[in-house]
Amino acid sequence: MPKNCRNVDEMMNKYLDGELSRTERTQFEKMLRNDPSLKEKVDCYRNMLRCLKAFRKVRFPASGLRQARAAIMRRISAL
Amino acid sequence: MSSELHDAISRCKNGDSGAFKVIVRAFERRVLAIAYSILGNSEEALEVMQETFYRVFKSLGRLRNEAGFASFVCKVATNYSIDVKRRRNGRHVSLDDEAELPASVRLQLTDYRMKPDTVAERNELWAALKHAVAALPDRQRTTLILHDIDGLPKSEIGKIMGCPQGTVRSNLHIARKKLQNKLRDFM
Repeated sequence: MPKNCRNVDEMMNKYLDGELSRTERTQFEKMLRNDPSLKEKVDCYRNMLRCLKAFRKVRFPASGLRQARAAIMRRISAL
Repeated sequence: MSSELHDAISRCKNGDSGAFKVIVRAFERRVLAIAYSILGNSEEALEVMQETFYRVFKSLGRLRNEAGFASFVCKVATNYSIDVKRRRNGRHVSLDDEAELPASVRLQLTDYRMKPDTVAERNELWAALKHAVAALPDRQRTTLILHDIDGLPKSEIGKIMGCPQGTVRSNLHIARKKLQNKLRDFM
């Protein structure tokens, strides 16, 4: 375990966030190859993070967006 | 920051409020994503969008560091969304509303490990995800949203939330673990 990681969970999160050094990443990937349950857990986290990105793609009703934009411009014009 | 955005900020500061349209267009998706992930309701998210940009416009005169403008907009949107959520005072607000997932995202959700191949299962996953995010404590949820949904770096989130990066990291890891536990049924 690298000195800056207290446990496997912390190392996994840093791995997913691309925050491990090259040596640490190699070490973690070796752990993944030797531990199928850890590999499964990392895959699950990775999928979950991918699903979270769906919030960025939510489409709002066009009329609601138009009204909101117009209301903003009305309010700031009135200042 | 793009030169168009820089120009729009300068024009707004000089009294050309019409230039604010450029700023709204540039950040509205980001603001709505933050608001929707905190509130889970499109009507309230649109209300947050209005108020966020109104507050941002009023603060433009005091803006010194344009490099931090995006973080500032996110901070206003986050704080106001949390205020709206608190103001509900237990009032039930449906998480199922008019906002829609585009087809590309539906496909993405379908790729999830369970590979739900029916509309019902896919919608169930989306609903579970929204409920799981909404159920997180404020600071954990905000950290997760700003990092994993909005893609802000931990250093920026620390500035927005007024806490050290170590706390940001800790809140993020706890939030992810809670979410993973709640979504276990889908795996």
